[in-house]
Amino acid sequence: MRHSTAWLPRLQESMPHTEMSPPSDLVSRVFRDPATIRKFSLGDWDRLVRQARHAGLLARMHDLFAAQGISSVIPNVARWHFEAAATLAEKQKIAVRWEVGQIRAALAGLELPLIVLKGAAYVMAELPAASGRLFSDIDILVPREALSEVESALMLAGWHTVGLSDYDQRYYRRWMHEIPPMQHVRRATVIDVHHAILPDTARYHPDSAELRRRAVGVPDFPGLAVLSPEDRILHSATHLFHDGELPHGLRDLSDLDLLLREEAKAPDFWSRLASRTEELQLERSLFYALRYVRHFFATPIPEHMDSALASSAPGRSQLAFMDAIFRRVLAPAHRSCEDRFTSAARMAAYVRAHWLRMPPRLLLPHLFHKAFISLYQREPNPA
Amino acid sequence: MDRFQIKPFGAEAVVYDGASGDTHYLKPLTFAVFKAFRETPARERHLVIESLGQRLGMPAGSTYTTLAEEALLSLQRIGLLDTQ
Amino acid sequence: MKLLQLPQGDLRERLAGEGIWLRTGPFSIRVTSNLETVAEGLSELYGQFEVRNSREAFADFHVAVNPPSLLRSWFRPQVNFSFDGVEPFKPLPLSQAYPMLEWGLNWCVSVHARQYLIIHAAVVEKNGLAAILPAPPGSGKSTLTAGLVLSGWRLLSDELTLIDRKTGLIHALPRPVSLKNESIPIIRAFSDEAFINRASHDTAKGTVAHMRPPKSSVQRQHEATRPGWVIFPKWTSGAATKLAPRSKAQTFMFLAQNAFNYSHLGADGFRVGITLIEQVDCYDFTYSRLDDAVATFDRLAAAPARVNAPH
Repeated sequence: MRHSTAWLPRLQESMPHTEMSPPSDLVSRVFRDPATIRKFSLGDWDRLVRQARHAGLLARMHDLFAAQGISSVIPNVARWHFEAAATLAEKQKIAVRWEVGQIRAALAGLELPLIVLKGAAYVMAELPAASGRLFSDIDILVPREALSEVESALMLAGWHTVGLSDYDQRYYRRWMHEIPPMQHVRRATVIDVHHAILPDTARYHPDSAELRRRAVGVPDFPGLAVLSPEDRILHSATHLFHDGELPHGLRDLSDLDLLLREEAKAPDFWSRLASRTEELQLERSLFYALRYVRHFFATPIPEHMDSALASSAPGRSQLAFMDAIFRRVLAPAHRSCEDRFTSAARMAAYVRAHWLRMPPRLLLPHLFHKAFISLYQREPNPA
Repeated sequence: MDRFQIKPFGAEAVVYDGASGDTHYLKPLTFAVFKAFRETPARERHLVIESLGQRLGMPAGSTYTTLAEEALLSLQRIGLLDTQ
Repeated sequence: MKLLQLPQGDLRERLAGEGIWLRTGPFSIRVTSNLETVAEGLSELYGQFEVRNSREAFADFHVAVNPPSLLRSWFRPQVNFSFDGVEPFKPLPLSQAYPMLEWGLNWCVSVHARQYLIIHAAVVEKNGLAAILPAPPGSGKSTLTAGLVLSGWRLLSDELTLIDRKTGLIHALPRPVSLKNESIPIIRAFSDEAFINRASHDTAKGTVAHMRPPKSSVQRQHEATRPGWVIFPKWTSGAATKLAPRSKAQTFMFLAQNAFNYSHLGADGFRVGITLIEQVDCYDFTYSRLDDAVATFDRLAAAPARVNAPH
């Protein structure tokens, strides 16, 4: 949705890039300025490890220190936490590659373009954003027409939709952009099959065929593609600002930071990104994405990009409201990063995301159901 | 680096598959079949099994051949031997 | 300073306030709890462990054992284990608060400590070599472990065998030994020196209590040890004591399948497991009388040259 008033762009331009005070969490501080760890007390390290663990960024931080040559600065008592996280991330990369190979084999007979999304894409394309990444599932994108064939082929190869109530199954099939997650009967790995990156019922609707057209093959892996650089950045941006639960908000934002820094090496990247954003009508999402990635990670973003997005920016008071929500929701989900407004902010983000994904008449019954019926599903007893 | 790491313990062996992360146990016959095929990869399958049987002192036409064929199938399924 | 040097009132107050900082084996813990039974359990079972004051800035694991803040807790009193704000388990009845701390601490280590290959097994040491005792529930592993450590063997752990990936040595985590059901009276009868705390009933494992680790085991908790044996105990009523050699390859497979984190370590899990198996003798062990079992183990530990298990 575009603002039609002509004076608005000038107002937006007059606003400083960030009106927010710098983030107070230690995790993003370390990413913005790794050398700062030289000044850390043992208490800082304690908080850093805990915040990074909650943010899902311990392993990536390990890689960051190694790349900067400052691993020796980590106090001995804290070192194993980083290394242990990196051990799992390394193992998961191998597991993801194998699993993607299994998926490709399972779908080989269908001869359709197989596109892998998000973290799995970063691993397969060997991008910097694969660093220290942990996975709970693999996301793939297939043509909508092929959805039931794909589900059948995967079931034949051992994946099954599991563990969802009838209500949740219906939610997935009718309102979301995926069939329910499928788990492998032997390996317990999970696939999320998408036909679009936003649900049918969402207000904004980028064309999936468009995304597939621009997809890029993975060298050494015939039959597999990933989204083009601009599209994977836009997917990351939309995912962040359309998904309400954000269990790994800062990690996803960090992915975006790494994707942007890598692509920005190409001189024409930002203009390619600007035009692609306009084609897919995702300006609002990208506006927020760039605003918050800069806030937390100080990602270098050229002025002309801000100008290009200025006319899609929200009004001043809405922006202030979104800042209040997202600077809390994107911070590490650790109590040391919370204030008395944090739980209200999470609730607001959740409601907003669902508002964007579902028409209002469906939203209220769904939220009611999710909150009060799906709440008590937890892990089995320890003993 | 090789995909498989094989560690013998006497007549048995354990195997690590670096591609899948799987770990396998090879019982004595399976390990023997594996070694026989690795030593003479170009030979006809039934000849390899037969000659192994002779070396192991198995009477001809016994259930040995069936078991050896099963062992070969499982080695192929794991990926240790190519399907021929 | 040792925990037993803290005045009782101090312990409770700190536990309910900024928490108690403890060192257990390679790990430091900061634990908080409002519950009397947790304070009592720590006081009775952790006396020999090092504590530091609340200004201690770094702890590996920040844990809390407290009633959940849900409405239903007045109706059916419950307790929750929290790891730095994350609750990995469903709440349990309040009477199980102390065992929940122990189970929670085991969870913290087994889920996070990938610097070790962690095998689900007890491990004890004598004469510089460790005996690893993997066993499914009901095999009498805990009874045997308790019997051994009451008879001069050093306790390294009753649940978590920590194999250092870099050195192959086994690190000690000599926390209280968990005993179930009949084990409790058996061990009480076995030795006057056994201190076993108040039991919790109706847990998922039945009746559960914990035995204080021997003082010398705690004092030596920073001594790592070479592995000597992997022995699968099985208590069978009326059975004669018998030690039978066991396939190394099959033992390796069992350990890989029963380790907490083998599959998280990639190829390194395989390497560490193989190195371990190459160094040890593997046995199946059947017994019915605890004193005979201890005698068999003592003979193993005394043997000048270890007999290699035939393959």
